[in-house]
Amino acid sequence: MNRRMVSALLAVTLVFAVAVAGCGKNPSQSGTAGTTPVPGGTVTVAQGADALTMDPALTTDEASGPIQALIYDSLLTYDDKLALTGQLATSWDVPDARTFVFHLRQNVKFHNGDVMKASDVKFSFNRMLDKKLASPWASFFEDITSIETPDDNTVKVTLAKPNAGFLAAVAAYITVYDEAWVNAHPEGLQRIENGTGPYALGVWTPNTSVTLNKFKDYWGAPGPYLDSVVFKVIPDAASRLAALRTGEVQFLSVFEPEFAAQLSQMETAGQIKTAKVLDLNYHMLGFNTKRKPFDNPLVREALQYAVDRKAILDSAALGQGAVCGILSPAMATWATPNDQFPPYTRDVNKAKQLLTEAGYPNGFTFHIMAPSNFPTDVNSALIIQEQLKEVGVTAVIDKTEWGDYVNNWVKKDFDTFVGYNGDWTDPDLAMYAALHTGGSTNAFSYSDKNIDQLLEQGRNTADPAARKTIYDQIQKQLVKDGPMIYTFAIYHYYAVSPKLAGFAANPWSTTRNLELVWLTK
Amino acid sequence: MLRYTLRRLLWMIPTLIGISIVTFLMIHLIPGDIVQVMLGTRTNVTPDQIASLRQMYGIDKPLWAQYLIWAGQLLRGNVGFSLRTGLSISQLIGQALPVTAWLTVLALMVSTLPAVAIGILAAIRRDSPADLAARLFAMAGLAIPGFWLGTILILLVSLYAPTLSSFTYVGFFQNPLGNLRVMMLPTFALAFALLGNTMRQTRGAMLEVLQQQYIQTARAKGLGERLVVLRHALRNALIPVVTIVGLDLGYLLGGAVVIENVFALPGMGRLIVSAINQRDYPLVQSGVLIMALLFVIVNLVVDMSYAFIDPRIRFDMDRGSGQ
Repeated sequence: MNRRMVSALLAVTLVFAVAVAGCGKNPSQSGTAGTTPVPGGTVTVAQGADALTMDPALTTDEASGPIQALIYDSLLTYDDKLALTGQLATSWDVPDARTFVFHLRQNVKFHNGDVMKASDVKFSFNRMLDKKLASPWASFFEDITSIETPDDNTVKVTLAKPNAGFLAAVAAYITVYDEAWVNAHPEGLQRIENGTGPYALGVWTPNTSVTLNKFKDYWGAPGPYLDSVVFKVIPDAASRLAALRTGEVQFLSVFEPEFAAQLSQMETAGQIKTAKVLDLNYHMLGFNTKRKPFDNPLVREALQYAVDRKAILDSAALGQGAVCGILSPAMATWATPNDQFPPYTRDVNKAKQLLTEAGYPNGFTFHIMAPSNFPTDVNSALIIQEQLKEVGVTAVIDKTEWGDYVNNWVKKDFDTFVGYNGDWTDPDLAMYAALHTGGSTNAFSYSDKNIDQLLEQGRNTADPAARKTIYDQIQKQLVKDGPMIYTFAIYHYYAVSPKLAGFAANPWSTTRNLELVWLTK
Repeated sequence: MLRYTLRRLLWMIPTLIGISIVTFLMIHLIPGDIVQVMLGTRTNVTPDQIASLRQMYGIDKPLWAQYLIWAGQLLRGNVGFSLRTGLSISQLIGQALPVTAWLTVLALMVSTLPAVAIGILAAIRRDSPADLAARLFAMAGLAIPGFWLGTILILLVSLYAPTLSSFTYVGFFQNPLGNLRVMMLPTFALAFALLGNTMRQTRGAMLEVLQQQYIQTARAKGLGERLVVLRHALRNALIPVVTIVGLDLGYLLGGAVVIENVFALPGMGRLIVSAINQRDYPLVQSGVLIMALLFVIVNLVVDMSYAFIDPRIRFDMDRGSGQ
């Protein structure tokens, strides 16, 4: 469901207190002791699972992305404030909403020494669209009608129709590959790489660790400082924390709210430094709008009023997050504030009244499918079950194994389900496929003419202010009779060793900023 | 004896064929296939793409055809490739099995010898404070879940003996000390539960045997208590103990998933459970088949060992195989 590389997270305040120097690529601006970067050394990162592939175009798991983020580059990326910025493109023009011109960085080398050319970028777009590759992210680029390379430093992409979310899709899914090298490896790129990023793949021991080594000809000086970064597999979250405490591991992402208290204890004891960013994913309960009684907008609206989102957050995620709508508050520029959502003030009487109006004065019984591998969502279901009792509605929770869950989701065989979704930086990416009539991730079978129209408008409108008005309208309608009850976004914690300096939490990539990290002792 | 063994070995063939069919059906019939699990609920894919992915993974063919393709590969000695990682399954299992086997051997060594000794002592000093203490210890071993003990051990060691803590698996032959450092805690966590069970079995069997008439006879003819217990009683009491240890051995070779997860050991349990979660069909099938093969072999060895412990069984085997 979720790609952590794309796990775009908002850096709320997030430069580490101790490591003052880290922000941006100019670490010399700070005068505190230990702020002059020292090259050398190894940092070990612990992850819950091994990477499944080194090919970004085929990545859907959570463990591969953070490793690829140090190996490969895109044309665009997001800075620490979640603003779009160049990576292999130094600048770009959008002459009209369907033409995108990328001006490429010069003298960029791939890990094998080849120099990046405009033709490599063109090849990379075409590879994404290659039917034989079958990338699960290809549909974001299906509107491309031409990719031209007017000169060696320029790539011009033209779409069949305007798409204001296109640049966000490029930043998320277009990786620049070396055309000659890819063609020389018809067996696929699952276990090998030739990126342009700060680190190159070293030894990969399956289910144990992946070692990345510094790439000397990296384009993005002054980094990288570390000689190598090791991604070690430690499946159990408590064990990952123990390894951090003993110093075996120096860098950790923590998504489990139950460890927040332990992290803060360890920080107080001086064992680690922490930072938290708000996740871009929203947690929710989704309705099957084809099934009774959820085909009735009044019933959906009633349930919107019947739940207390703050209480769900406090119980299910131990308060480690923020209540939100379909856009996590992490996307501050786009998210409509909660105070503009009337149902976000719980109103049991109004809920009962709406249920009576809908023809269910005595409530009803329905099932919630809950993914057993996501305890936060199972807990959400339990709290929602309790809260709905007060309006006479009975929920039965079916804890479901992930494969079974996805199968039901694909077949739209559920009353409702709890889960999370998101990881987008543009409202079009966040909403179009999920809410548009017949959209590919619209498991809710939701169909609303007004929403469809607004989604088209939002996609066709280039002006950010005009788009904001459109997406505000959508967000407000969604919490009235939309296909989901949005609940909260959780905090994503970073826990790092006090020996690490120069790290700034980046909202877009959990690991890319390791290129600016050095060891102080 | 030889014929008995041969017959048992031949029986392994239909057993393994049966297991291969059952495993194949189970992993293919549970809801959710590899493509669905790979795509999750977030990817923006068209039905065309799903069809081409299903074709790429070879799951567009009917089940019987998929089974025959796999079985044909196996017969030609090709275990195949993991669909999700593209790695050869023999390489993956070749890496995971030694880890699991070593953990199994260590845990059984550490648990069985003390368990048998304590079990004997508890039996001959029945209802003494020592017996009571041993029984309490055994109950604790059985009652405390391995993952809890494992997590607590990790926490305590990381707090009070950080130098002993390690999540970096290295092979014993690469670095014996490093290996033992990694294996120490999981061995203890695993052995603790085994110890309780084996000790209770030993104690129970010893109590039963000690009441037999031949023990009285042995004592009556003036044998020392030590000889009575160790030669006459223990040997007779060992059959159920060996059975239990043998079963443990079989199960443990399949991988102690929870312990492997908590201690980050790259063993069989983790390999197969993650393969199941990802619906990596060939890896699940071949992995389970190899575990089953080991289980069958261990059972055979356990049965054979009865003959060495108890000559009467040897006689029965010979008679049985002569029929």
